[in-house]
Amino acid sequence: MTFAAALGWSDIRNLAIALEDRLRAVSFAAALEWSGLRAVLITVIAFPICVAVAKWLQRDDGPRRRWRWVAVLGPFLFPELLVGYAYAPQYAGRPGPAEAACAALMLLRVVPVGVVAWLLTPTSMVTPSALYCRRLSLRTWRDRVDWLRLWFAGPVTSAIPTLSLLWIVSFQQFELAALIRAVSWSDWLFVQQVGGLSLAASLQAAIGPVVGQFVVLMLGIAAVAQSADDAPAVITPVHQSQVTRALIVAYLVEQWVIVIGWPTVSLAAGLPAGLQQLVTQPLRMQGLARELFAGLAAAVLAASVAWLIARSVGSAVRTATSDGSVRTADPTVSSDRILPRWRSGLGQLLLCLPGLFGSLLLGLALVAAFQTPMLRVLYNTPVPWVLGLILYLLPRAVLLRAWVDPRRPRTAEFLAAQLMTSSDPQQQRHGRRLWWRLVEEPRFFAVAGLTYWGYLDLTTAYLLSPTGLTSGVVRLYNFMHFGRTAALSAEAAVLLLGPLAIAAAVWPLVQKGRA
Amino acid sequence: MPSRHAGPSALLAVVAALVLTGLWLNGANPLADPASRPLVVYCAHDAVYSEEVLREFERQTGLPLDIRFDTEATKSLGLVQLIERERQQPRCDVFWNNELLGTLDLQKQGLLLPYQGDGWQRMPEQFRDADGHWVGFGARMRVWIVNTTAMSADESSVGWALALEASRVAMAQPMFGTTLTHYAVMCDQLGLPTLQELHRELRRRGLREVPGNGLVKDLVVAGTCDCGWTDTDDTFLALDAGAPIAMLPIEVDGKTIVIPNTVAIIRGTQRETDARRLVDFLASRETELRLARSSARQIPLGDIGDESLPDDVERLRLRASHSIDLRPLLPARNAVLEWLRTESAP
Repeated sequence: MTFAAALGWSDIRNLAIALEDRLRAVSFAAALEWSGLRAVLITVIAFPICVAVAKWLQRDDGPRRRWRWVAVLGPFLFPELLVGYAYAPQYAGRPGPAEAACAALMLLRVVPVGVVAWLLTPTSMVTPSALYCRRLSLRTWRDRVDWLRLWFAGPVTSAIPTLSLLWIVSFQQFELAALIRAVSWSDWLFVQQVGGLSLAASLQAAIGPVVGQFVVLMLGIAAVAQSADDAPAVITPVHQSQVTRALIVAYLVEQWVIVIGWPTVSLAAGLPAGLQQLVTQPLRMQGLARELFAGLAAAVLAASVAWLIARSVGSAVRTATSDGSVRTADPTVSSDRILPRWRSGLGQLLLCLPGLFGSLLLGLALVAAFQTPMLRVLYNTPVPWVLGLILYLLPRAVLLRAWVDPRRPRTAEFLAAQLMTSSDPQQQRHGRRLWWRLVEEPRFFAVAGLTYWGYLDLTTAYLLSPTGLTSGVVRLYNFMHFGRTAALSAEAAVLLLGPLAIAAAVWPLVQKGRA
Repeated sequence: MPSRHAGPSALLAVVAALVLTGLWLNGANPLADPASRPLVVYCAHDAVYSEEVLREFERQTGLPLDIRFDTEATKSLGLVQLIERERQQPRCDVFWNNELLGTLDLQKQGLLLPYQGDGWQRMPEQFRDADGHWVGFGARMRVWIVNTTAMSADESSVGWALALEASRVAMAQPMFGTTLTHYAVMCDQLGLPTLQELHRELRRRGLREVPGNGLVKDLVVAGTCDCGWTDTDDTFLALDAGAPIAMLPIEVDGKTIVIPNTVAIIRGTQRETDARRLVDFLASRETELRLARSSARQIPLGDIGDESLPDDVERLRLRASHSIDLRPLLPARNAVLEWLRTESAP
């Protein structure tokens, strides 16, 4: 190696060391900027993958489609805490690799979210053929501006909800970053709390990121509201080349191996010993069942209530952005009527703000609120826990509701409803079945998703659950902290497979009952 | 068209609310007389060991316990801070902390009740508060865990490991648990500026800072790191699993760092008599022996009479007899915390 090359290598190494050193103790501003930038990068990379995977899912409507959905959604449903725990030994304490690993894992985990968002977003009012036709007749500058306007109203508006959700989910990242010790604004606030930063100072610091998320959330909801509601009821087969399909399958395999495979393998090693220990402790098994049902009941309650509140928020927002008042600037609608509508819509959307602070700050604020003389009597009851979960889930519920509840009744739903009112019992039955598939089933899955988020949230359970009632997730973290792989494996298996088993048992009954 | 009413969601919410309320009423029994409700214990110690001890107390006394375990250093707030924040409406009756300095912090804030019972009487002065606000029992020692396939387990080898390529040395984040105590000891001995210098230098040379002592153990066992700072209980876990490791007690100024469990009664409890029974039980000879004979091999601090201890605990006990007195270290702990927090402040 020449002297110059050696010097260059030494400079690069010193730079890398200096950069790693900086990553170990970053300021809040730097953590915030990096979290935002990383979320942008992840969003930009994830978006085309989401679109390609969504097309792959829509290839046909055969029985294999269900398995394709499982393949896509699995990595998102696998608990983040176990993913972080599995990769912490490799990356924690090595700032550079930890950042790369955290970003890669986040990317793999957010793609399913983007796929669902993309498929749920109503199709654009501006069809690709309309856009193409307009493009053919570009003569003047005004034509070009008009084409640009159409482009924004069409493809861009359709992409915004997915992009917003991808960004928010990446930006809110906490557990993975905390376990791998990557930089994130949420983990920064946690560490500062341990060091003694006051709640008021923490809330003040979090205002910036919360406002940022709120703006992005509004943007996403507004874009969903702007999109056409009458999405095609029949899935049109989408053409994809064999190479693209092979690439997508390869991507999904890689996603499963990294996000589910390796964490499962590393935990499975301790499973036999853990289960052996567990079966010899009947009291512990009883406690575990109790924790499972308590966590699940709190999550179901909070998810259902958040879903109901989101309906009111959603309709207020829809009223505020309804065609007559805003979009078409109908001269018959006076500004006196528009402004209160907007205020009401915005006012209800502000209910989402507490949830955007993240569960740690939200939990601490509720602990402080329920320690005041007026609310003290409720402190050691399930009320603070459920309230914390509702507020935590509300922003997600509002966004999900924006997708699931269309602005106007879709044609297919209208026809299903007509069938339900038919005098022929068979037609009524068909109508009910159709109504379930078109309306109730998506709502059921939305509430199930919210329940899942609430069930796995540690912080609200840890800070707010009353004595005599806690969620099993708290104990999982205790085992992780002390490196108890065997006990962690066994209890994680029970606490994670338990709700799935309950859901599997309940699902046929729900389907039968509703249809 | 059927209205988009709230039917199924509302029904689901009602069912979930009933289940939740039922579980709560059954577990916490809030409507019952306070004396018959479970005693609430906040426990910062490893659930695998502590739960067994606490269930034994339930068996012996018939008093039901409601235990809340810690999740600090993974994501949430530590129990010390939770007790601070609950000062207006305390839920906790007895706090079993796995270290001392956090308990001292609670004592300083006037959140602990004094009690000088049988357990307190049998402990040496170094491991109890003079007024009985807390009492120590079953301790851990700070040790070097060394992968013997990579290096030899002696003072000079670990000294060289730190002095040369620190990237193969691991430690837990110094803001938490026993590593915070370790830093407080170093701060007291070296002074804060020297500790800061040392800390930055080690970071610059790539020292691996990980979320907990358990992970330090895992890294050394896997051979990813050659050595690291951890506690005796983690090291024993690895030794029992047959890992090629050895332990070396860390000494500062010729003394070991012995970190006791501490137990204290929270001011505002309505169950003081029962809380005292639990304090006596935890600081008893039986509990110390149980902890010493468990796979954590915690070091008994009080008199254990003629009872025999496992050889490795006996050896540690000898080393522990010459350990640093942690009681005056609260200011050093707070200085370290403040420094680490403001290091990354905006």
